[in-house]
Amino acid sequence: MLKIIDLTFGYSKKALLFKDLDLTLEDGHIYGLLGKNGAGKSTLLKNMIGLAFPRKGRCLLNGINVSDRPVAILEDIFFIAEELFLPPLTPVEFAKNTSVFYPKFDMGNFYHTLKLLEVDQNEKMSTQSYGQQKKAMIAFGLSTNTSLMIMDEPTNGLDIPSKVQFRKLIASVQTENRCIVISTHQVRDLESLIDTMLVLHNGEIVVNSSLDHIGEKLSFGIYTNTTELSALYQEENMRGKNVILPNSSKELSKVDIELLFNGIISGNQSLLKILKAS
Amino acid sequence: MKKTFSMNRFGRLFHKHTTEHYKNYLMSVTVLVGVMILGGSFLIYVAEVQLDKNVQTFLFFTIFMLAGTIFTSSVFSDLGDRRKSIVWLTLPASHFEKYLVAWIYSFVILIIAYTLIFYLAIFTAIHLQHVHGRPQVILNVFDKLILQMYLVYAFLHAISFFGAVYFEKLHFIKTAFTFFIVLAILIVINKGLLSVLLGRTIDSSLPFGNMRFGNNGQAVDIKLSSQDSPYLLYLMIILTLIFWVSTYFRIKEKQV
Repeated sequence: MLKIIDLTFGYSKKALLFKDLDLTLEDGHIYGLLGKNGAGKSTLLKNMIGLAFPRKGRCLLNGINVSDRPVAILEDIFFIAEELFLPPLTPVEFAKNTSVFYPKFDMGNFYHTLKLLEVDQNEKMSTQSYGQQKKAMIAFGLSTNTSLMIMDEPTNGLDIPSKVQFRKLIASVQTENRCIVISTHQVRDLESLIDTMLVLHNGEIVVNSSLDHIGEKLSFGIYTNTTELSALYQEENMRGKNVILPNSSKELSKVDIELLFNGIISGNQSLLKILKAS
Repeated sequence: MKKTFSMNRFGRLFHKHTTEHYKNYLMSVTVLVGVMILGGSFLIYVAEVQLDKNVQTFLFFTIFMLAGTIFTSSVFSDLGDRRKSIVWLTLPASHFEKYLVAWIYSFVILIIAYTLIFYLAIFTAIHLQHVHGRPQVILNVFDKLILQMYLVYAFLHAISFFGAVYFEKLHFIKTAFTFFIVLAILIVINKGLLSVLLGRTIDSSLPFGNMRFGNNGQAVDIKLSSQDSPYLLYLMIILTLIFWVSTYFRIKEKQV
């Protein structure tokens, strides 16, 4: 669905953020884009939706170059930025004015989601709290029913119950015709939500694997003693050691996304080697 | 064609823009009315200026250019704000439709609104002066001179329109600053070139305009003939079109 070919991007020619980056995102998946602060997650997302133009290469959505920002593409993408701007309108007024630009917009679903997320329908969005604004935009974005939905740090500003609701909502709206990309540095927020993990590190997508694939290749656990284990990566915690091991059993291991992410950005090549092996 | 322009989509965009901005526009109109009423009252009661045709023309032109360019400079201010520009650029409408909404508001609607407000203010002022026993004539909007002013506005609008997209902050100040710097450079180059061409010192000259030089202690003025005058007009029209088209492409190239 979304194909990034040979993407080279940098705000200046000398400091390139990405060089010859390739990535394919398929329909029917919820991707979690992870990376350290400043890794270029937001910039990559902006390239995906035509808000930043690559120096070289292309981003194609269903074969159409997104940099041209044609209406057919804009109607089929919804982007929730980390920092929002909302006009001095109530969510209902905003939806009335803006939903008309999205052919698949579901007004019933919008009202339902607003209610679920406990957003006041009649208060002007510009005067609402940051969390309420974010929830209003999430409700709107999910109701557009676009094929590609991209969210940059969507859980920032949400309280814990709202984060739980958010996870449920995303899971409920996901269909095989829709691709959702969620970028975050709050790795824990993505647990039990994403099905594919993307890790952006040093200008490259170093991991692009489904959690099932990761769970087949690696096993995650807490151990008090790791001397006899062939641990690929470990971190100490209050209860012992969080460990990543090669998965030698046939059983699927539950992926500890945060631990794996920490292992990858620490430069652990063994982890990457195992994940890249088919 | 529908990819670039759809009447239906344009109507929706125009409606959305109006709904979200009408309060600001109404405030701008109120400020303009206030300026005209206060300014008019000052001229009549304090300065005791006779609002004849010349004064009306001067006021019409000065306020028109100033109000029009200030408003136009702010018409793409959303693009200078990262958060707003994301919303604006990702809204499913073509670049041309977004451009056209801004163009219609800052050019067509502004001209109509300004002319109506000016006439309202002038009618009021004339009425006030009439009470004092001074009959007045009212400026005719279809006078050749006024129609030429609309053309001058089109030229300044095109420059302000481009500046509104080109600069990210302080659009009006930066556009005006650049305009005057370019104008000053042109005048200096033009004067230098004319001096070289004529082999004498030029006292004053304007690009595509008249010039003056000294000859045996006498000031000699060379003016454009009526046949040459349209060249300035053509130049303005061409530059206006260039800036309008450049603004469109600048929007297409806009990144966040």
